[in-house]
Amino acid sequence: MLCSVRAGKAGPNWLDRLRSNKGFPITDNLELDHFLTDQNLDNPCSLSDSNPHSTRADPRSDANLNSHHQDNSSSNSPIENGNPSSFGIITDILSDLFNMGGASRNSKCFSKKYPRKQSNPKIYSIPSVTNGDYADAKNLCCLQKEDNILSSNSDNSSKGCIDSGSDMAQNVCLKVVEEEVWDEKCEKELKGYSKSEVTVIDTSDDVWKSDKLIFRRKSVWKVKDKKCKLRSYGRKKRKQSSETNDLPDRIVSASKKTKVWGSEERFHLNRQQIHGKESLKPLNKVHNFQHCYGPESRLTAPDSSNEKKENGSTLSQKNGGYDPKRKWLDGKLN
Amino acid sequence: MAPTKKSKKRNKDSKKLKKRKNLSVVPMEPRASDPDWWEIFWHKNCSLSGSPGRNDEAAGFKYFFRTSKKTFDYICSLVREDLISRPPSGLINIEGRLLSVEKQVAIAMRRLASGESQVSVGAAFGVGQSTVSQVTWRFVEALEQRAKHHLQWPSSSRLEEIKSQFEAFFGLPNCCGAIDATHIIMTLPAVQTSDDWCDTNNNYSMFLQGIVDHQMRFIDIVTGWPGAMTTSRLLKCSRIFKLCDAGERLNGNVKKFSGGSEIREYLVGGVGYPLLPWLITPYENDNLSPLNFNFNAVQGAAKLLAVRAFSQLKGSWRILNKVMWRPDKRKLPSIILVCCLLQNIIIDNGDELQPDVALSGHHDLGYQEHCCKQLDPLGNNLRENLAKHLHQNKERVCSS
Repeated sequence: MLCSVRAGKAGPNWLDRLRSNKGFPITDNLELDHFLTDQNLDNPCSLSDSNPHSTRADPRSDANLNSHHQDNSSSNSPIENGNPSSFGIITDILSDLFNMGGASRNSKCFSKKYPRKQSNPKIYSIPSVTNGDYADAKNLCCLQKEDNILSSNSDNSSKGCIDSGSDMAQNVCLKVVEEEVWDEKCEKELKGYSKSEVTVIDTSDDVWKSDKLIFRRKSVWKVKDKKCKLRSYGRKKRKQSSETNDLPDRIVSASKKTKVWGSEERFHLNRQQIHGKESLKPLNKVHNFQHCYGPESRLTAPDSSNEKKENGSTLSQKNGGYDPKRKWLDGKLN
Repeated sequence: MAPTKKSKKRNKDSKKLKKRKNLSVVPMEPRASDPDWWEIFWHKNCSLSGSPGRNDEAAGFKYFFRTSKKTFDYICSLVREDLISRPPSGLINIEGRLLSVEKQVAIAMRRLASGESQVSVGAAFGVGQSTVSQVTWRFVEALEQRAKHHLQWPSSSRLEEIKSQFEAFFGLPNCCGAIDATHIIMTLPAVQTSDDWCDTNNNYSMFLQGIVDHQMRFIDIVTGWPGAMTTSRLLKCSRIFKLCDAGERLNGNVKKFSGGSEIREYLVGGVGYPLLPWLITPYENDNLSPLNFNFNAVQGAAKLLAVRAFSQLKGSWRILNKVMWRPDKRKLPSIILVCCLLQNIIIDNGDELQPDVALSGHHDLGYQEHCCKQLDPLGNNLRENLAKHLHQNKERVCSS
C-alpha cells in the first residue's frame, strides 16, 4: 500500500509540495534509499526549520522525480534495509497525509500545513464526545464533519482544540449533530413540498438582503432562512455554537391552510359577503398571529380566518444546506 | 493532475497579464470631455418620439433619465467611488476610451427608465450590449449600498410630520403611511417552471410591497417573494409585520378624542390586507352605513397614495413594468430596490415627480385584489373609532 499508492500516480509537483510541506529538501537526491538513510530524518523538526516552504523545484529534479516514480514501485521497503525508525517516520508522514491510520505521535512535531483538499478525510476518534442523547452513528457523522472543517482549514489552534477534546469541540460537534437531526426532521416534514430559493430585500430588517428557502404545497407555504453550514472553524463557530442553545426557540412553525383558493376568494367576494352576512371574525392572537411571524421566529400563516392551524411542524433555520456557488437561473439582467 | 492545473493557472495568469498590458494603454477619457456624452446622446436621440424636442434640453434630460441634471449629479456623486474607471478594470466604450462615471450612470438609468433592451440602450450611447449589462449591474450594486439612507423608516420627528400631513390631507389622525403591493412580471427559463412564481394571473412574477408617506416616498419595502403568494401572506413574511406586532414599530403616542376613543399609530391598506391593530382596511360589507361609507372614502383616498406611488414607480422605471426576460432572481430584487431608491432620491432632491410619466392605468393591471377576511378585534375597534372621528369632523364642518 505504501508504495503502490501514490508514487505511480502523482506528478513531480505533487511530490515537491509534499516534501516541502513536510520540511524535506526538494533539491537533494530524490532516490528513496537516500531519503530513508538520510541522517537528518532522525530529527525531522530540524529539517522543517531549516527548509522553509519552497515549492518550486528545478527542472532537473523534475526529471529525476519522474524517473524516480517509476522506480519507486519496485524499490525495497525500508524495513528490508534495516532502518525501522525511519520507516516509522515515513509511515507517520504518509499516514497523516493519506489517512492510512496508525500514525504515531512523532508526526505531530511537524509544522503542519494541511492540504487544501483532502480526498479521503480521516476519522478522528474523540473520546470527549460522550453525549448520550445521540446515537453513535450521529457522532460519527458529526466527527466526519468536524474533520472536514479541519481539513479545509489550516488553523492549527483549532486542530489543537479538537485533539484535546475541549468544550468548544464538543459544542460544535453537538451543534452539527443537532443540525443533522433538524435536517432529517425537515426533510420528512417537507416531503411533497416544492422548494424554491429566494433572495429577499426587506428594508426593515437589519440586513436588507437575505436568502430564504421557500417550501410550498398548494397554498401552504413554509419559509426558513438559508444559511451556510459550518465551513470555517474558530470565531464564527463559537458564535454559532452559542446559538445552538437558542435553537428550540428559533424555529419556524408552520400551519396549513385547509382551504384552497376558490374562485370566489380570488375575486374579492364570497357568498357571505355578497349577501352582507359577513360578521366580524375575531382572531385569537395567540393562534392566528403568533404563527404568522416572519421567518426569524415563526412563519407561514393562513390567509384568512377560515384557515386552521393544522400542524405544528417545525423547521430549523440553520440547516440550510446552502451552496453559495449555486446559481438560480442562467438568465442575465435581461 | 497537479502539473496540469499549474500550467493552466500559468496560462491564465499570462493571459491576465496580457490583458492588463492591453488595458493599461487604453487612453483615459479626459475629465473635460465628460459632458460630451450628453451632447452626443442628445443630438442622437432628441428627435425620438415622446421626447420634448430639440430646444428644451432640461426637459429632454428629465425625459430620458427621470431626474434633473442636479439630481443626476448627486446620484453620480453617490456611486462615483464604485464606478470610477481605472485602467486595469475600467469599462471602455467602442472607441476604447474609459467610460466616465456620468456616462455609466446615464446608461444604467436609461436602461432602468426605458426598460428597453440592452442592445437598444447600448446603441443610443455607442456601447455594446455587454457594457450596458455590466454598467447597469454595477450601478445597481453601488446605489443599493450607497443610497440606503434614502429609504429608511422615518425618525420620530419625521413621523410626526407624516402624521400631521395625513391628517391635513385626509383627516386621518395618527396615520403613518399607506401600504400596497405590486407584481413585477418576468419570464422564466424552461427549466425553471416552479409554480411558486406563477401568480393568480398565470404570470411569473415577483412581489414588491411598499409603504409610502404623504409625498409618495417609500419608507419601507419588501421584495423578492414569489408572486404566487397573496398580499396578506406577503405582509406576514415581512419584517414590518413582526415589528409592528411586537409593538416595536407604530408604537408612538396614542391620540385621545372626546368620548374616550383612542387612536394609535397605523397604516392604511387595501382589502387584500388583514385588518390589524396597526393596519386599517376598508369595510367590506355591501350594505355600508353612511358612517362606514364615509370612512371607506377617506381611507381609500389615503390608500390611493400607495397606488399612485407604484404607478409612478413603474412608469418612471419602465424596466419594472415590462415583462423581464429570464431575470436573475438574485439580482431582480436589487433592481427593484434601486428603482425605489431612485424615486426617493428624486423626491428628496426636490425634483417634481413627473405625473405624465406615471402609468395611466393601475400599477397591477389585471390583478384583482384578493380579499383577506382576517379581522382583528383591536383593529376593528380602531376602525370604528376612526369612522366615528371622521363622521364627527364631517358634521362639524357641515354645521359650521
